[in-house]
Amino acid sequence: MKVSAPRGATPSPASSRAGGRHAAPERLGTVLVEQGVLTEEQLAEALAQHERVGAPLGSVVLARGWVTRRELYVGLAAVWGADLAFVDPVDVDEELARRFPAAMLARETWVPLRVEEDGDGLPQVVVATAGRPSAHIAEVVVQRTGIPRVRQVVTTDWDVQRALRTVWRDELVHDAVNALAERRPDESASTVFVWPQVAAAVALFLATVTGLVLDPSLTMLVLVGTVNAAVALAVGTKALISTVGTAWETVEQVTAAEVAALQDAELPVYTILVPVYKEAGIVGLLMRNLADLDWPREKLEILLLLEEDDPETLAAALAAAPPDIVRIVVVPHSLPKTKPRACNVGLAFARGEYVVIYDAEDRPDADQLKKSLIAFRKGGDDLVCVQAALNYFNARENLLTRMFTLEYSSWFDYTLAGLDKLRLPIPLGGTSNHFRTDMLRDLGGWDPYNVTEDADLGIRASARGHRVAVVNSTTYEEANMAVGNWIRQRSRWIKGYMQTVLVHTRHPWRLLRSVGPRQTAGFALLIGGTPLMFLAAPWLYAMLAVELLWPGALTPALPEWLVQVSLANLLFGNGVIIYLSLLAGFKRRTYGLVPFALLSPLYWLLHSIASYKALWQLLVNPFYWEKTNHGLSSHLQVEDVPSMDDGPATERPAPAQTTTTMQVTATTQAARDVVRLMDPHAVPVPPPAPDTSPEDRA
Amino acid sequence: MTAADPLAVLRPDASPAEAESHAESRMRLATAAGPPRVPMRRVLLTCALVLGVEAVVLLATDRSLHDVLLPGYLVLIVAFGLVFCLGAVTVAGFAAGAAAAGLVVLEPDALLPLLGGAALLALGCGVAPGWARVEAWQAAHSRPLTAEEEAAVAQRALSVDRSRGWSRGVRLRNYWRTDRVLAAFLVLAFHPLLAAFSLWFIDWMQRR
Repeated sequence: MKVSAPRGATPSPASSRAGGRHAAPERLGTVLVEQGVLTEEQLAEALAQHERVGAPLGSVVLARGWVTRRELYVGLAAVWGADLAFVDPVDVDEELARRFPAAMLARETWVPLRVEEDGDGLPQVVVATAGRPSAHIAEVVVQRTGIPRVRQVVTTDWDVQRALRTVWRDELVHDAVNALAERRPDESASTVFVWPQVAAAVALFLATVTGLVLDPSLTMLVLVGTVNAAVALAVGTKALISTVGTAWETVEQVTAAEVAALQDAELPVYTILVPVYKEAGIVGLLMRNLADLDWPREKLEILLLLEEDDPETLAAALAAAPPDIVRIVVVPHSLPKTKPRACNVGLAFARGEYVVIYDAEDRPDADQLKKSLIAFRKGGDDLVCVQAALNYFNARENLLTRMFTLEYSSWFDYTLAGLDKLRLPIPLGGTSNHFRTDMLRDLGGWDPYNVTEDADLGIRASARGHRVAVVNSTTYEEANMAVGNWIRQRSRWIKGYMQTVLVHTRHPWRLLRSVGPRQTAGFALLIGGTPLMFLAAPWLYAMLAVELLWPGALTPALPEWLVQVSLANLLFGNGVIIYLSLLAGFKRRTYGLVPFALLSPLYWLLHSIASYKALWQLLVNPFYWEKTNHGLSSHLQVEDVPSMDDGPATERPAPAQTTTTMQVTATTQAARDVVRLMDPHAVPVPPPAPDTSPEDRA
Repeated sequence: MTAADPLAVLRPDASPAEAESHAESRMRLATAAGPPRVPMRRVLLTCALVLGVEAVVLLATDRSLHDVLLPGYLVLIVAFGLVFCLGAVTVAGFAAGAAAAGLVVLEPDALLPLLGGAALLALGCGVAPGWARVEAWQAAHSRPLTAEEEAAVAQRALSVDRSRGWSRGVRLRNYWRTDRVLAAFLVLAFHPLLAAFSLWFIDWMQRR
């Protein structure tokens, strides 16, 4: 189909019929039936669902697994009166491609292919689109190339994505890694320390050394006093925030009645990002875990973000034969190889109005998407993110999982709730953060240089005048059950907190002006105070040990009152930690865990070990992403995934799927479709269709 | 036939009939149970009013601050202890415990009676229907039925008769939980114990 330049453009009859980017449902249904890929009964059912849910007919039949993507696009091309082409990335003219930004093409799902001569010998740009050919595309092409004639052919959205990942690979990676650092360097952790921070640290160090030489007693007094004051403030702040959170435990942000009142037709498209790396064993669980989500499948888009250098996970994902709502996005290799980098690539391809991140082993509450949507609607236009609570399904696996669960219960049920009520900046948790997609893009996405990109994003959103809220829904995750693995994970989190503090205190006055004094104090004491507490704890314990074993041994160096204050600080801090864990375990009705709260001081000493590791890494390897191994829990029934040596991927049987709301009904054909589209070598890609449209022949 | 305990975990080797009964019980709880709604604002206002009156009266009669605070703490302990026990509001336990700690600071000898009271309240939590209701509600809302349970229930058109409250055979008194009692005791007793320990520790450090 030709759609010419704006001034000369005349929408084709097909365009007028289709209305927007979607085909007229009756027409598409008829075509699919005529082509023999859909029965009359299926069409009637699909039309009813289309009416009920408000999703395009194509999405309905695709989500139900009644047609393959290829069959659907053959039908759509017929409805739109355009040629169908399967795009091979090698056919894309790279010089032409450079004129178009990848992010725009990913959002609008079309790619320019080449410049050719039309029947009159005039140059025309050939464009492959996964939507209805439109004057808008023609307009953009003319603006960027100066060539007034545009021919639009139809291709699948997966072909568009594959072309983007291949041809625009460098740009996608560059944007994912450097967009924030280039656009707003002050907000990126790509620079660990700025020179005023270095100067301040050096000055502090020199002053301490000089003071110790000239007046050791006074210097020790100042040092210990400052640490104690900071720890007391940090613990006090956490206690205050959590107490406010406990006071709101009976408040439901979103009620079941509000969820029940939602109509499917008013639901927007929701994108779920699932970054996975070296976790082949648990990819098969993903669909089972997300299957319970109460959201129309036709309006769900799941992007499985895999890394290029992780063929085992890719093979496992393909072998799992996910349904068509799952798109596998292979993230090109680059450094730093972090989760936020993968999420940024996923964000470029996201088409949902809202986007959420889950880990592959996550088990969100069924109504979480609906509750989040309602929370957004109630929260106002400045609400950029809704954070659901996280908790663990394998809490009783060992002592560490018990302690971890108590800590998470306290953090998500009380501390975040308190931050929300006090309108303080909320550091987001690792997953289950729901965003308005457009606002997230405006914010610059995640910072790939920050190893707690989620916490950073929450603070950045607040600094830009947006708001983050919590919602009364829970996602169950797998608690880390091995101490070494736990320390790796925790050291990354603490290092990320340190990075976040360093980033957002580069311009303290600017931060103060933008978020206000209360929020600045809350941020400094909670995010900055947390690593400080962990770093200071061993020293306070050491003072306690010395004072118990050798009474009065510290008094020559420190005044008696300061020693007592230090011990009181330790006692109060541990009391707060124990009690918050105790209360949180009780609130979650995990009564069996509650007595373990008494062991919290020991658990928090592990944090101190992790914090010193984090501090060391911040200095020597700031961007290193300590990978947490998932899938260790015996609660995860990992399916056997055929290895790559078991035979061609296309011949592997699809594993048995659970029958649930969002039924996983992938067929072998769909699996082949996935393989063909993800792996260009699996099935030969046919060349673009010859130029045979009636218009062109004329 | 006794209905399955919906709050218990279904045995892996349960028969289809047991699975169906279990699923049915959980469905009933999910639809019929709601957490008790305690008007916390009223509770707080009433406490504030009582404390205010008590403080004014005692101060007017020239009593010491100790004498003013003592009954105040007692009022708070009783009020929030009852809300915790009967209303199933966790944070009320925090408030009751904090008030008990205040009482221990005033009267260190009150520790043992307070622990006894905490134990009684904890035992009350073991039989108070509010906790079973809130547990059922929470379990149903935050831990969805498994696919097998849903399928088992779907085979029979289940109509929930709300007028009957807890359905046949499902009695709340069956849901006594010892772990709940122990946990409740810890919530109530932690503050006074910590306060008593702090007093003892300070005293011990000074006497060394």
